[in-house]
Amino acid sequence: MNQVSLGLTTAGAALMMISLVIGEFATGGWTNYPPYTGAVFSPGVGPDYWIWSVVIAGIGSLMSGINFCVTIYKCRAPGMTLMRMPLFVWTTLCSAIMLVYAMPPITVSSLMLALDRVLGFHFFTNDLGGNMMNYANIFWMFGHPEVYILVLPAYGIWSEIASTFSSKRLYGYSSLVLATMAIAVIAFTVWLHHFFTMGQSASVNIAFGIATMVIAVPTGVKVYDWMATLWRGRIRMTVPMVYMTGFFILFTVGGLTGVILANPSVDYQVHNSVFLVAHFHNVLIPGVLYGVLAGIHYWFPKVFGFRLDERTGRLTAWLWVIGFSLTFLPLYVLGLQGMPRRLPSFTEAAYGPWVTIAGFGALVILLALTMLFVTLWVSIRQRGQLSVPLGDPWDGRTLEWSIPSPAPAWNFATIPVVRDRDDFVARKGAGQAYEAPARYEDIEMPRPTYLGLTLCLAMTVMGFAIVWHIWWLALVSFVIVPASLIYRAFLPESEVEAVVPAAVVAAEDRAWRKAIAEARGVTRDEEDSPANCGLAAPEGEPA
Amino acid sequence: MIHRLYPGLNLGPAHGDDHAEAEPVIFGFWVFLMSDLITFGILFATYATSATTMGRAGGPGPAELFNLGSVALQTGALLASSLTCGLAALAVKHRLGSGTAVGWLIATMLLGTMFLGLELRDFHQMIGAGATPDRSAWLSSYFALVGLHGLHISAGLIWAAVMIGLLHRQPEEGRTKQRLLMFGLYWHFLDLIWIGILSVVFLAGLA
Repeated sequence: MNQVSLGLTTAGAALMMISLVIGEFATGGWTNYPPYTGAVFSPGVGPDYWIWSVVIAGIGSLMSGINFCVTIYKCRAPGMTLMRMPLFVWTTLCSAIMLVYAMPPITVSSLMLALDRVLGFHFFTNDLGGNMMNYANIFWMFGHPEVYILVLPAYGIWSEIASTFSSKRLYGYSSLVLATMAIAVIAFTVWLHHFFTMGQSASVNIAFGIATMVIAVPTGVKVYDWMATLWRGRIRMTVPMVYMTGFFILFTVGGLTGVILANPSVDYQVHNSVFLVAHFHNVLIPGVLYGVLAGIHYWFPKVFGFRLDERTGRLTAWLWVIGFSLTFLPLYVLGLQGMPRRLPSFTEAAYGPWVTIAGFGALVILLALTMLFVTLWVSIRQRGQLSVPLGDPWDGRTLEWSIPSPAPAWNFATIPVVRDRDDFVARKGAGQAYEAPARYEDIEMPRPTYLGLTLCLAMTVMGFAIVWHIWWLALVSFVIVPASLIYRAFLPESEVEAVVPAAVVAAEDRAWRKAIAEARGVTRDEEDSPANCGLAAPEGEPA
Repeated sequence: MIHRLYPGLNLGPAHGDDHAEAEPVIFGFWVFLMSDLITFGILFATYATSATTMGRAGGPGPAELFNLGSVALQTGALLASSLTCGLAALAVKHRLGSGTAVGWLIATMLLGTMFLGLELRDFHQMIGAGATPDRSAWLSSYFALVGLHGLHISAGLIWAAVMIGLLHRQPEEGRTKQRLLMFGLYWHFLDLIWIGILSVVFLAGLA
């Protein structure tokens, strides 16, 4: 199911890429608002590519949501109670729940638009009873929860990073969990703030405006919790921490301008101006993008077995922070000066200096993006020096750091029994971090399968065929989907699952434990030196 | 893994393992159904906003188009098919042989096909009377809502056929019984949606 979700997301992306070469993409803007995107005003294929890549990728996201919910609810290790879960798992759970509820609206609204375009239905047309405001409503019923679907996992990443790189227990764990849940619920009650000016009554606007302001409260709680986590910690200014510092300052500015925009009467003044553009980039780039980049630096050694180069990484992080500030902060001023968004050119002289600064900032961002690839290139070339096969380069606190890097296919040789929120720290403190298990068991694993790839190709072809109205091809490629699922249902169990014998697991696990016994642990100060091979020397908790 | 047993079919001679495996799978299917419920919910909401004079745009309305006799027959067939679907599950639970279960599934398919046939006949008559989905927003949302339910039923019929094949090929496998459980949930869920359609679309439309 994981593989199929990834396959469908890939199919959606592939359709978007194809549209760049054959035809055109999303000529109706990213929200694809009708009636402009209806068949009357947009007869081309631009909106169709948008619709089908969104629908296909959306089904993939929905399946991921279901998959994560069920895995987190039902498949935890013994002792891993809900309130012992790492915060990243909590935020992933809330995101997954939101996906389950928020994906159907966008799928439905896109398909309704497709029916309008292809079969002449009248959901969102100008004539015969159609109502384009329904589209805005349904679209943003997905669209607003969606921004929290993006940012919640990043909040989880920040929580893990704050705690690990200050060697402290996460401050206010319960309040962070509650704040995450509160955001997940309130996120469904604010969608209307995307169209305060559409003409509904003032009392409706007020209700949604207040809900929008309220959602800033749990977010504020989180920022305070992270700062309190760092307070008097054993802080190392690694790359993720540089991103986090930028995030603290910039994201707070973005959050505050969000509260300003939540007031409908203010929104009437600045809506459709670049003030709004500045606001949402201000939360999405420092909030989500920095979070993702910090998370990549943090978990990269776990996935690939070697760290990313710190020096180029830090430079990249600084470029991101400076580039972002130069590009988007001037847009607040421009927005208040009345500059509308999506402006191809202007004659107003007052905009000039600010636009020039923003343009220069965009060049810095381009440099940051380039440096991202340079970091990757440098790190891959020096992977020998950067390798951390023993698995714990940052003196990690949670259990993923207690296994080798890269993690074996079966992750844990024996399923751990969890006793503490920072279980790995507790084990290290008690000197039990690397105790060999008494005995190993066979591990049942799914066999590799072509199902995801098959569905990915079939759905890509189907989307392409529908966009260009090649109906026979659409039908053929669609039939492949149920056909391959039914084929798989009839396979005997032995062809779906394989067993890794206990001896194989034991041999690999013992070799790793032997290497640990012979290795020298590094202190926190040596984490970015070649001496770091993934074993942390005890230093004690900070006062 | 936290072991909680699924309180459904007796899934195997050694219960424990099969139940533990069924738990996440069946729970996941419940989550999917919740999500599908949102899909239908949005179509119900769209239907409600277009079931107005403006939404009908001068076109034909419920009074001219709906055939309550046919709808009653469809409702009867669908509810009866839920009963036979439940009896198929009971046949597996009480080990009455996979033949009995297959028999009840065939009955389910026949009733489902009858439902679908009657529904298509109604669609055909409406389209013949000029009530096509491109006539008005109300008809667009009618065909989308009722049609999506019909598509679900069609998918369910294919699934039932696959279940018959699986019961024939590997009747004792835990996976087969899990799939039968999920099929049952899906089929009863469609009943639930139909009751919504019956009340909101047909009865309220003619009230």
